[in-house]
Amino acid sequence: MSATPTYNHAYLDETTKRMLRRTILKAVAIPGFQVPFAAREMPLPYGWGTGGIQLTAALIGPTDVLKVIDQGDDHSTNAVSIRRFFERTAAATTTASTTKATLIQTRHRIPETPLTESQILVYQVPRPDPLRSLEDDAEQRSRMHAYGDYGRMRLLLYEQITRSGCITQPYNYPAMVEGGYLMSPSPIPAFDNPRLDNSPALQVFGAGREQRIYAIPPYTHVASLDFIDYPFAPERPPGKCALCGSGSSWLDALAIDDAGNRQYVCSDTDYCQRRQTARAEEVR
Amino acid sequence: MNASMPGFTDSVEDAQRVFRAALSAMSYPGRIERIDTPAVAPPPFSRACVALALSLIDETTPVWLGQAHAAAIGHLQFHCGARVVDAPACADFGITHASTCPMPERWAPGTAAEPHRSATLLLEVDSLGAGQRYRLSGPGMSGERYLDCHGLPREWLAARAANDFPCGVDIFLTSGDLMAALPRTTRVEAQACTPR
Repeated sequence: MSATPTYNHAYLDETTKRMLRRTILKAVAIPGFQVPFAAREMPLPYGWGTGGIQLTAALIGPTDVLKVIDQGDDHSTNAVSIRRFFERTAAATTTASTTKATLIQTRHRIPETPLTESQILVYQVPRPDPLRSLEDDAEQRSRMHAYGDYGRMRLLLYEQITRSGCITQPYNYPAMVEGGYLMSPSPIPAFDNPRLDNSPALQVFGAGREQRIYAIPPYTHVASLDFIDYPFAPERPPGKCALCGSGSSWLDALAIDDAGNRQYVCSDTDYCQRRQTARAEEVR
Repeated sequence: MNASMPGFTDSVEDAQRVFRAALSAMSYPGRIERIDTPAVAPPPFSRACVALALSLIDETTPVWLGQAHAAAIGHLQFHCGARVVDAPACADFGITHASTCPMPERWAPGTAAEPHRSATLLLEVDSLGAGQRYRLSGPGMSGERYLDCHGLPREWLAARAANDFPCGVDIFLTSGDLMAALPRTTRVEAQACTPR
């Protein structure tokens, strides 16, 4: 498909892309630090991935293969429209295959398939500052980050333990980047947090409404916050995927009837599809 | 005056390609990237250095130029609308040969609350992929990485090591068609002899 000729390549003007690119480079140089940027208004509402789209627009080129997932799914509304946006404005080659993609824009999941050095993972982030719910004053939060003053976040997790006997943070689980900054991994399940650590792929995070970009460079240590006696122990829905039989992937619950019965299936549709294909070939 | 020299052949695609090479270099410190655009570079700019300048600098980013590079000031003003400043401390970008680069403490290092408000230096070196061997460590490296480079003054590197994270300057090294990057997180140690 060719690009809609009335737009500049990837929708944004070159001055905006240069600003984004300089911001991305600083974000990579200061792992986990939220770099402010002058987010542009995009042709979709805040909360639908305006930060991620601006990152992808600054990154994407003619040799890229773009994959977009929404909760692991290549075929849900958000993913389909963002993919179509870049097909129209950047003549992007798109794919659902995690292994074929060079750029992966994601909402709320990290693919099950391990990433490589030739890939960049772009996250859509609603609330970039993990301290936002603990401190209203932005200047104070900035000071807390500067001083590495994360005691209140530890207190929040401690309070969960005193109340429930364990840390009850199912998603958006805060993590320390290279021992320096506390970051929000975006609302990925805590189950995905270990994949943030020491990834061969660059990970960049964009929050359009909050106007922040941050990054985890490749091979960077990312540690989910925990305590010596209450180590980080993310939960996984019990059982196996009803479609591919995976016992290790993240599962979504699907309602299958009016009686409240549910079926669990992989949230990563590409991973699930490949496993189903492999199983079908084995049977044959 | 080099203002009549062409910049990128395709300003959109070339800028994107150069940026991705720069991002790869910054993400994997010590990795050497090859640049194949623009067709010509105004002396004494290397192709890699002018490519970085054309893709990252514009009228919003003050630039400080070393004496030799100031000869090509017209090129940057024409193609980037670059604003040239006299004091390194006021510059977002510094472009100079590494041997004549003002010491690291003379550039904006950012502050503890705003470490991103720091300079990015484009340093021309005599060679990349040959010369003095440096051992690099820090984020972006799986295991040990070495960078061979000739033309980085020893005392300059020693002063850089005194930078206090998160403050510091980020560096692109350029030589001919090649570039590599040393973000502030990268520790650089000169090796006494080349390990086999």
